[in-house]
Amino acid sequence: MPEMRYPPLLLMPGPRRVASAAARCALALAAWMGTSPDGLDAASGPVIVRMGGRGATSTLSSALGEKLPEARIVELTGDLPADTARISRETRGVSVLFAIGPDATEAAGEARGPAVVALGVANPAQVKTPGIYVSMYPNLDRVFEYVKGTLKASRVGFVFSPAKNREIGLQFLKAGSTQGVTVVPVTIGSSGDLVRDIKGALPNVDALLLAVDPVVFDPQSLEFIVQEARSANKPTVGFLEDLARLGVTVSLVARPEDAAKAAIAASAQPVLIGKKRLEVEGMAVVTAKKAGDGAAGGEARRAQTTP
Amino acid sequence: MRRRLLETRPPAWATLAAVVLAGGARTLCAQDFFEQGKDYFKSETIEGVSKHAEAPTETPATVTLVTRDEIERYGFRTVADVLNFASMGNFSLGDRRYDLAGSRGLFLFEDFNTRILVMLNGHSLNEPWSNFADIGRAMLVPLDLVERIEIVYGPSALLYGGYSLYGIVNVITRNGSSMPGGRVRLTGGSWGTGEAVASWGASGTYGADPLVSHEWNVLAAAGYYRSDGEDLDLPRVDVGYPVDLAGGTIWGGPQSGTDFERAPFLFLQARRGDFSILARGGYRKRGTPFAPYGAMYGTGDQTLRDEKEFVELRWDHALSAGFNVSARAFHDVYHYHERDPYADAVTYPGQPGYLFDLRTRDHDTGGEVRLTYRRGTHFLTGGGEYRYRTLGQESGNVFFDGAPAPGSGIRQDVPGRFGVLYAQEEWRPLDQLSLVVGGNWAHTEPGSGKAQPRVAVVYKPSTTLSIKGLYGRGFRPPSIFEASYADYQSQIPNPALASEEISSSELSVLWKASRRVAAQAYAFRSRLQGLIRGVTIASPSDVEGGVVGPGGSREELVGLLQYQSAGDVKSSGAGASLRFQSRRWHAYANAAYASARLSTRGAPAERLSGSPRWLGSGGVSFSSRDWTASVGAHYVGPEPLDSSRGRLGAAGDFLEANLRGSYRTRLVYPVTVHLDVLNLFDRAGTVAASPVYAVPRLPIEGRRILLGADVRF
Repeated sequence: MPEMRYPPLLLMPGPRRVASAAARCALALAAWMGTSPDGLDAASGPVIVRMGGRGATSTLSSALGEKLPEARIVELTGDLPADTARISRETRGVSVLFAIGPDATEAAGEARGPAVVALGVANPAQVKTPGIYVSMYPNLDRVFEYVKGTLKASRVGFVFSPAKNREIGLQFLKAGSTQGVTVVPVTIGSSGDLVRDIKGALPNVDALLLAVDPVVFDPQSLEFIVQEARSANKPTVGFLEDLARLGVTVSLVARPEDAAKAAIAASAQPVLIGKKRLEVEGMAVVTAKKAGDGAAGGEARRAQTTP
Repeated sequence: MRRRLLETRPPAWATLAAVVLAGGARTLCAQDFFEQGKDYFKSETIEGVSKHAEAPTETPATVTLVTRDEIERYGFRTVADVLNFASMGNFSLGDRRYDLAGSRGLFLFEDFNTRILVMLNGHSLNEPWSNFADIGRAMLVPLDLVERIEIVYGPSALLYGGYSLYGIVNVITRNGSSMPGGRVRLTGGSWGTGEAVASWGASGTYGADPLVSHEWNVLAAAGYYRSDGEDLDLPRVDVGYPVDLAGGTIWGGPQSGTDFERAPFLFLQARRGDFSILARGGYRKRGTPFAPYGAMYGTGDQTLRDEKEFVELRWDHALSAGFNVSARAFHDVYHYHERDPYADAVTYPGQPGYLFDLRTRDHDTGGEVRLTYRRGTHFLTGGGEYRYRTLGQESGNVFFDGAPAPGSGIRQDVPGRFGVLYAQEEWRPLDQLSLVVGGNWAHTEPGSGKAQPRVAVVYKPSTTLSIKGLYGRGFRPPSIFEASYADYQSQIPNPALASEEISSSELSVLWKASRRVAAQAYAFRSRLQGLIRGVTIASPSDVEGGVVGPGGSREELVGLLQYQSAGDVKSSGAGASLRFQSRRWHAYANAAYASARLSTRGAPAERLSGSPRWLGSGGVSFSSRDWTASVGAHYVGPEPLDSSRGRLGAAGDFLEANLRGSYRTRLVYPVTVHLDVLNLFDRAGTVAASPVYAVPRLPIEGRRILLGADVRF
């Protein structure tokens, strides 16, 4: 029988054999984790990740796409593990990606790949992903200049859900005080709060500002707010263009093209640790064409303020 | 002039069409806006089959999700309703004691849902005494508090250790964020039914950093359900044993007030940052009008009381991006009390009869630690769970004057243990492909060690189509009752009782044809081995586990019951589901076929009694502004009667429909008024009765009308 100079590891006796087997397993696992075909189909260049089939964020995606024609758009499914794996594959070699919407931003963060520039996130505080967050709101100084100058309001109510927008509420309070406008928080935690707090707040304010909040996406709640404000002859101010069609007096909107421009500029200096909020300078003013249109009536008219 | 005006005006139909189209377009536009909400805020996530958030297209199982919207549209009141009216192969058979679940051809009399894992937010509700988990009123969670219900078909207990031979029902409750403010629902109607549920929820965030939020929420609820139950007039049958104190043996006839039910509950869910607490308590007491176990008929003294409390503390923490740890500790208490009146003047001379009184006190204490690690295309889940269980059971006979019957008291205290270690890897090498491989090792007392693998391949040729190949094994350890209960008068223990095991192979397809239409289908084969059943000892050699009688011999055990591994069940079948949802319409249809055959020692294979091969369900709902009208129906195919009754026909083969109308208005605060008509056509369907009943068929509930109002303030 020829001498076996290097016996197979698994035939080695005792503790050495166990250690060797464990080492082999660890090695195999490391190889498995490290050499799986991540990014086989990846390519360099800007990448935009967004949820597939969602309409509201597609305008941001289009605006980004126009300014970055070479960008690849990766549509996600809404399943976090699958989306994370997909982003890992698609962004190999990419240093910055643009994530549109909170779910896409969350998946981009979980993928732990490139730096993230996020758009279309109502409240960045509720997403863990580090990166730059392009605000959904126009520059708040401009907002309060408009409120004070055009609407002649010195005391406004800011309507929001504390569970979804407390941090945004604090930012409005701070920005309002800087501009000499008193911001009264109108927190809507429930249907009962809506009835009590809107009716209670209206006599004490000159206008109502409506945060991008679940409250305005509930048809009954929005209708109630609009009707009560009309009854009290107080204007309402929203921050989504469509709100002007739904009876809100005026919408002050951060235009998608301005948001895209700001995002591209910010991507030159990405943030990998912590979060940074970025305001959009341009502001579009959208009003209902006819005064006194119903809650679902009228065409919107857009005006643009100079950045 | 008039003529010219008429000529220049468009026809009335055109005006109407224009108005409708314009209104429709405007409403459609508005509707599109209101659907944007989910785009700007993070989706609510839940942990389902794999203990982490995932989409139905990805999950390694066939699943049905019943949403909050569907619960409200169709007026589902219990999980049993959901299984009957909305699942794709599960069903529930109600015998006026409990709602007993079956799935895809598998149903066993006196099973008490021991083979289906029922969870509340991932917390197992199967108690240790007999693994029982109720899916009706005794679940003590009204569906008011439920966000959605996940029905998982087939054995998927990889991460839970066992018990899910039929599958999993995971009930996800709402929280202070999704159910904010105060809410009161009051309902009343037929048979003295009354229900009140009050809840209060609040939520918010805390922290000084405007770019980092920490969430808190709290939801507390309490309620009470009562019903006097249906007045029954059952067919008269001479059962050959006394069913009244006069010694009469005619079972049946009119009875009233025996079908009653009472169920108060308390519920609390709260979260602050990484920490959360979930607690529930209450009891359900009800009469058993069909007089099982040879008890007296129509007395109202035969009652069941299920009292349950649990509290679970949980910690979910992100150690780093993609690396999370979850830990939970829990304590469950289950108290059971059963009273069965017997007209028996022989056992205790001088007494007309007695009450059999059984009480159990179970405690289940345990914890779990779970780690998830995500790296690139890999997602690893691993962890372990341990439970220590104690069971105390007392039984005895009590005379009608309250005095204990001499020599009848039995008391047993038995401990049990359950531990499981599990690991699962999800690898997504391509957009179109996911591979899931996992395994666990569980050790139980009673029972022994078991290993269970799971393998799944999920192929997604497009984003709307998902094809899954699934293989899994599951097991159910014997319950403490099955292995340990011994009165040596009717039952003996079996210390050698082994676990049941099931293996299942399945092909499942999910197709989201459009934003409005989704279809799903599956085909499966499974084999359940070592089925635990009560066996009547026919000869001393039948006794297992080395058990001997109080006199030291096996001969004295002949005629008593012992739980043994006594059969295999092979089942196969297929199911399909179609769902449609538009702005105003919602419709669904489910159909399932499954055949299960039981092989027992030395006997030819036979169909499982009480299990229908065909199941169907469907519903249509229409909403217009403040009005919603819905009809839901389910069909139960013929159910073979219990084989001990000589196969005299079948039960089942009935269609039951429910109607719901809702009107939403505002009386200062939002108010929704509901009208429910259950068993709309008052169909006199029957379900197969287990051998503990004197008759082979039991009637389903008749028509019941309920009127309720839900106020949010």
